[in-house]
Amino acid sequence: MSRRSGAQPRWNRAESMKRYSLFTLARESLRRHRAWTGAWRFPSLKPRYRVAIVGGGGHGLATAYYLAKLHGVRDVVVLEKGWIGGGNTGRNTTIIRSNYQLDDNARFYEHSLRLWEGLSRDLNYNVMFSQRGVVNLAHSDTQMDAFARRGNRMRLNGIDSELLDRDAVAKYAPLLDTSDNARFPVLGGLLQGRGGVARHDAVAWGYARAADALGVDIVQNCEVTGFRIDGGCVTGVETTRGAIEVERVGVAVAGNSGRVAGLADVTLPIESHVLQAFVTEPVKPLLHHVVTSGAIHCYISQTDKGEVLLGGDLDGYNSYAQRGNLPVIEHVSQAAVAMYPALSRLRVMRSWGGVMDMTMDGSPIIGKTPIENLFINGGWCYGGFKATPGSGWVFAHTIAHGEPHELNAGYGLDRFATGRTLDENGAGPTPNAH
Amino acid sequence: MLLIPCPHCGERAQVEFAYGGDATKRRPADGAPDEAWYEYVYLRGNPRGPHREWWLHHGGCGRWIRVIRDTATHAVLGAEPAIDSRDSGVVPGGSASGEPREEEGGGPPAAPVPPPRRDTGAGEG
Repeated sequence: MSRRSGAQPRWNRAESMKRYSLFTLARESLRRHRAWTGAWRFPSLKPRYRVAIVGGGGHGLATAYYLAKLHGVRDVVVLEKGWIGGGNTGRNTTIIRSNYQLDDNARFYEHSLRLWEGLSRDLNYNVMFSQRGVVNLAHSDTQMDAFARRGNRMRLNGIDSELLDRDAVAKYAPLLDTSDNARFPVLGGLLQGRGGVARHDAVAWGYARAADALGVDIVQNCEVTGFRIDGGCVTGVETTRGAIEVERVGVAVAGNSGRVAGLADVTLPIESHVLQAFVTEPVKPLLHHVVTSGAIHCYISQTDKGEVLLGGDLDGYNSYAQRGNLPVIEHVSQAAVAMYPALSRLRVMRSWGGVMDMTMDGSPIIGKTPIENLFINGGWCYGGFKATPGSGWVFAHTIAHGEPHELNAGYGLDRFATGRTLDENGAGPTPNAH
Repeated sequence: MLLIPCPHCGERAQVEFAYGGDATKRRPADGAPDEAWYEYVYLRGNPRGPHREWWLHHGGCGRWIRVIRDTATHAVLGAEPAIDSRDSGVVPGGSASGEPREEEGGGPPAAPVPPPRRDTGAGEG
């Protein structure tokens, strides 16, 4: 904000409106909230940028934010074909955790979790991050052994974990059926107390607002239709709003990774699959944590609005449809009622689907492509939301320096050809099994 | 619910089937270079639109079939037996080869692909 010569106001109201605080909220409430302005601009496309980010979801917006904030690259445009946060950022079950075994995954997701812990303050935007704890249930002795091993590996990487026996699980999640007669008997669980949930829309909005304030242009309703590639190096991006010249391009388009990479003739080790989630009617607080069971494919939490939020496994077939079919919803509902009999009389209010970019080893791809100055961030499978801050952080570094950061060095696209895959589940190159 | 027209059994619900993935991939010959194996094992055309894919009718005839299904709309466009039809010329996306190949060319996945399951608790939204 430039100050004019002459009379200088003691404080500039427009400037003070830019930072949210209890003080501005109280002041504006007395003025009937008429002076609030949009949280970000709606700029038109300039002919040239240093960096173009394709995809205005959480990952793309976070990348733009960290580019501007940490690397001084402010001449950045985020190109979004729809509206920001309208893809998987607004379709996930908002679970945040870092309970990974493999060192590369553990370090990366823990870095992301630490960014979550300071995110609302960093962005000056309440992302409603709630570290209410995430517990994975074990239903067999084998699974208890596997969880003990996982928990120990997490601790070796400095990540909190706690192995719970059945009594501890019953105390932790009182409504859970831990009786001997349960359809899926609970033997214990692995708890990450620092895990939790966040408000997914607020993550997109918070990053958008903070990036915009640093000069990043966010252009919505602007679909990328092609790349200009000169001598194996990307030089421009064609969009439905015209072509732009760029020095570097970062692609962060989740389920559409294969399509966008295809515009540059790059084929990815990715299949797109549909993953569904659904919510019940809202009720008073009854679930205080995130309770998951990988064995029976059910993930349960309660939103701040009171809805019980349920997710499960992929439908299992390639899909870009952003909707799935009823067998999976039926399966997840059965599992949820088996775990929580108290949910049996709740009605399902709505369901939706998101397109998951499933990689061949279940781990993401963040790094260089065969095209120079074209970088990719994708392959998030079903775990992208929790990675949002860390993903943007390392991708910004990768774009700014032209080389991956230590934290995403293992996520290169070339790891499949070289055999250095990161297969957390040991499922092999079967995308729908990760 | 997808309704899949099994060429052996007629139209059946998707719950009778297990998905086997992209049916346009061709197993390289023994001794093929690493690039060919990388392409076969890892890379997928992943089209948005018609997709030629394997399904196993485990709840019916127990046979592998090839289904053409639109990944953008889920519309099932057709199905054919796995055997003796690999050169029918219907190839989604135009990327993979539909040309006649050696006898190992068009076979179904070597091992039945079980329905996806995860019990390590590692993945969720």
